[in-house]
Amino acid sequence: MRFDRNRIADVTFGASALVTGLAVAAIFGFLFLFALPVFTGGQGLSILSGVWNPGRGQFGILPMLAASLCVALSALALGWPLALGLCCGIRGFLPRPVGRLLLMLLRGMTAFPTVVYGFAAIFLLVPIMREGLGRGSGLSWATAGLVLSLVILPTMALVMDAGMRQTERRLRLTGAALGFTREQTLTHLVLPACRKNLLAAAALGFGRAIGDTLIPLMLAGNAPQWPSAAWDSIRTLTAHIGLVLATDSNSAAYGSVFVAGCLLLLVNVTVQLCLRSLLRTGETA
Amino acid sequence: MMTDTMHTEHDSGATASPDMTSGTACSAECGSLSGDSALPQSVAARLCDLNVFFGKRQVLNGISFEAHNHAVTVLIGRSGSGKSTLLRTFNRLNECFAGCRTSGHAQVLLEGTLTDIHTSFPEPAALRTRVGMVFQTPDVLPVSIRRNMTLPLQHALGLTPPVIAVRVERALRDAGLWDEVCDRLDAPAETLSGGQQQRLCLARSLAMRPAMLLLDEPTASLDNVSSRTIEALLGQLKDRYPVIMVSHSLGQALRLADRLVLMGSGRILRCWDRQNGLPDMETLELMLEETACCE
Amino acid sequence: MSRPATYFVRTAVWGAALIVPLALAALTGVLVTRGAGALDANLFFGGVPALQAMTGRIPVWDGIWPACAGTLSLLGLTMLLALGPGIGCGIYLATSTASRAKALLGFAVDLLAGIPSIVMGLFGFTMLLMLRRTIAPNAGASLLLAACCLALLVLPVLVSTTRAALESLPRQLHLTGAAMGLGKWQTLRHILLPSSARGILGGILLAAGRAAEDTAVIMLTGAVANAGLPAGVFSRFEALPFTIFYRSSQYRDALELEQGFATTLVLLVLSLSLLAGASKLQRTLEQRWQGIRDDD
Repeated sequence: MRFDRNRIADVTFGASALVTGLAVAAIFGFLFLFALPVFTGGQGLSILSGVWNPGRGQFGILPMLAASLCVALSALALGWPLALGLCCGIRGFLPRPVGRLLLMLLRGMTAFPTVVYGFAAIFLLVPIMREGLGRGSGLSWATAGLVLSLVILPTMALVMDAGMRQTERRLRLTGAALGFTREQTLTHLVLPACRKNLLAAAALGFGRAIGDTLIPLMLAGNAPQWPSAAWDSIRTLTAHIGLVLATDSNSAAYGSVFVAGCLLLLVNVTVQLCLRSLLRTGETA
Repeated sequence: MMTDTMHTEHDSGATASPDMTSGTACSAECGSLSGDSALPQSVAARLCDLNVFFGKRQVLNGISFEAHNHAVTVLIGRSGSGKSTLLRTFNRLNECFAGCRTSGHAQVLLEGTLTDIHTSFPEPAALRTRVGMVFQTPDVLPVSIRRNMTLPLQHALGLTPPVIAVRVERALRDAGLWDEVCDRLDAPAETLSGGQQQRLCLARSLAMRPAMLLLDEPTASLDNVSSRTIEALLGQLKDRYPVIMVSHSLGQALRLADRLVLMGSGRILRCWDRQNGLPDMETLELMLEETACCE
Repeated sequence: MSRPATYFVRTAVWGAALIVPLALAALTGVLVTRGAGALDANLFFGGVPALQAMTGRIPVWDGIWPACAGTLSLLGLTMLLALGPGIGCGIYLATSTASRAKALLGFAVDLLAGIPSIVMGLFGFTMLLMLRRTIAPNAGASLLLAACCLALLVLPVLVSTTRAALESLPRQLHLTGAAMGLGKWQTLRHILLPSSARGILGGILLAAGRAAEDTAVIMLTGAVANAGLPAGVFSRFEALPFTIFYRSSQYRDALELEQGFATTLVLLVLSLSLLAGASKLQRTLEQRWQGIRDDD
């Protein structure tokens, strides 16, 4: 009797594991399946061309890819240093109570819905960008980049903090013995030791930024053009998918949506592989 | 004469596929008590040429010995000498650790016959209901005192509530704890003192009516008074249950042991029986020192 | 000992410590100042008496109650679908010894966690197309479809927190259970799971929070701006995040805009409470086992 119960339990949990694995395989599989006809059919590689003009039958999504990369990288460029700054502050540069408050703030930020960020930004930031820059409608690369950096900041900061906490505990005495102040221990001993962790946080932030839909959709303007200036209106891959499917316009455009989905999945896989190699110390699984 | 050694692959989770012939007597390094040849009835547990590996590391090397009924067998040795591993052989708890491989024979006296614990029990859980273990740090469960006692009786043995209630009271009395907890059985077990918790763990094992008691440094985390209480208990319990224990204290070992076993580097180095005279403290300390330089 | 390096870091620290809270305060401030005024029964029920509205006797056209009901139903259905596989998978990863399968599964879960939500919505859309072509030509975007996709989205959260909760228990508990003669499943059921229950519960709340706030998935799988109370799992529905999104560009007058702000506050309160609950549970789990951790 007992034996049977163990077997049943093992089988059940194994089954859930299988279901999860199959789900992941299904997602990748179906999306690639649906994207395939785009290449084997008439449209071929024109999907990856640089012009999007459905009216003239041109479905190039390269501008969208460029836009996604630009927005994600700029969000990373602003968000990562801020996250690092906050972490160092929490770990020693700022007085204890302040650090604790900041940590609570970061944790709270993870629960802040992205749609709410977008909503608030439309009515707060967009007018500022419009007046401040003097050109464009305020819905632009810059606006989206700024808010997106805020969105990815807590995830990166918490990952960095987890790594720094352990390392700082380990190296605190060493630093003190060498005559370092707490700040110097952090700067010269802990940060270099945490290099991998910091890079992993960056990879995670990048993945999160490139995968976000609501912020670019609400704030970046959605014009399918090559990003050239910070105040340009641009459309990311994620926003593109949302727009095409929501407006339900023209099924010829659907192909581009699946290709966009596949591109995003490829980016995801690459980011995950990078993370794995960075955190090879047997972190996940 | 040694028969085929049995190789049981015990990667945690895999079941044994033994290849054993009937256990014949192997020349025990530690002979029997006071001249009696090893009559099967007086032997409570026997190991024959036991080797235990964890991965590539060999922790026990060619162990052969016997533990007797109505006696306390105490294992002493420096840390790393394999005492706890040896103790855990008897309830196959080593298999819970990754990469464990055991070879050799191990037998325990169950219902009057010496039974091989690997071949007769495809599932170690059944064996462990017959062999009780108390750990170094009291491992009370984070539930009430009552639940600590009833959980194994209900789920490991499948007993009914009336039977359980009787056993619980009996076991708590045997462990000398009944008077202290009878009015607060539903309080969390963590509210008990260290010594009380350890006696609770002992009671928990006793309630299972085990064939043998295994104790791994049971008083290591307790103060002197609690330690003495436990030692007194063991003195009373040994008449009903054969006891094999590891001790961290030479003084305790000398007070309790009917058979004293000195281990070093995974081997049994020497045995003494109380009837033939136990060594004194200084000799023992010297011997322990010597085991260090041979490791 | 280079002074410049420390100086540089210090600048980053102070910069961040000022900018981030300020930015957050500004954004929240906008929401509160422009939305707090509209936080009343009218926001929810649009003039319809509360009881009639909640039971669906009278339809609510101008209030967000249908969206609230939609979000709650969506949450319920999603968690129903995700709990089993999520917790089961987490238990499997924490207790299994088959290292190859574990590594593979762990990678799959990580991949799943990194999939952008719009791609998950796209997957749901794809499933719909497949269904339409094959067994259910009349299939439409629905609560069930959205819940399935959301379940996939929150699955990794459940898996990671369950796994972490089980792995944070002291090793001794496994041994105690085994030494008592309990089998693997019995130890799990009577000792390990009850002891890590709080952590697992915290994970459930985190997952619920994630499901409540997601917009991209439901946008493509059945959320609409006006559908009334959820009429069953096969119908379209309203949801708070989508209503907010819709309202951001489609509002007819100042009142509607103000109500839009108020709706964001409602969603914010929901998300933050779920997070607070989860944190509290995680904290009590940590405290309980802190003194008894053994690191072997």
